Amino acid sequence: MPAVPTSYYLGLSGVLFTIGMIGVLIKRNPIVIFMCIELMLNAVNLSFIALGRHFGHMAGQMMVIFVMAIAAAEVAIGLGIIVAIFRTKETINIDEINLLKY
Amino acid sequence: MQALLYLSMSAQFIAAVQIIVYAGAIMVLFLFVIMLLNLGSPEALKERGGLQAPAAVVLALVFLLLLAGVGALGGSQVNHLMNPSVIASYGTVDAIGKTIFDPSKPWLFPFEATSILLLIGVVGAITLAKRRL
Repeated sequence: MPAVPTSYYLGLSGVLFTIGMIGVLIKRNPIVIFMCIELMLNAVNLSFIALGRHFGHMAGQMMVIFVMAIAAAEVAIGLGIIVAIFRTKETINIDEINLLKY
Repeated sequence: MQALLYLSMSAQFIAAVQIIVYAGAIMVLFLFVIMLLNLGSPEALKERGGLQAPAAVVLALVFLLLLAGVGALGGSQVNHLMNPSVIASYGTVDAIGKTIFDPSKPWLFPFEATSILLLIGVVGAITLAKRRL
């Protein structure tokens, strides 16, 4: 059975990363922004796995495990921050969260 | 979807972890926070017009072109079909465990550091979510 070329996976990974980047740049809802960050992390994971398979090396899969652990921690903290901000400011529109500017 | 892609690249353990972590933990967290926030009308989060969205799309297209350029330059090395004769145990729990806990490889310390990171994450999330400590 012929395997899928590695470059296809890398192309998909690049497209996913770009979609996530567009979302982070134009969205106002921090929850959607978090989802887009997850999308970018997953795109990088995909290319890690693809290149790891390509070179027959375990390092790609190791990195994916660590990226997943850090993504889980990041989502827990980030959503906690969003809840805390919503509690004090009654909004989560990131255009109105500018206290650090002053 | 992504787990299926991992499976197709003989990364069985990562595929299982992907499903467990994303469907079991991250998606539930997202849904829980959406439920907690109770945002009401979507008007408050209306996307504003202006130059931001077109600029972002243009920048993203430039980024994609850059990636495609890098792929075209270095792509000849990864373009051929992978050698299917990788070791049969590649990507199994056995192989991953033996790699991660092998003291001669550099993964043991990051593994332990990750456990501390997760502990800090738990404590931080509780601290943020509590009204008063």
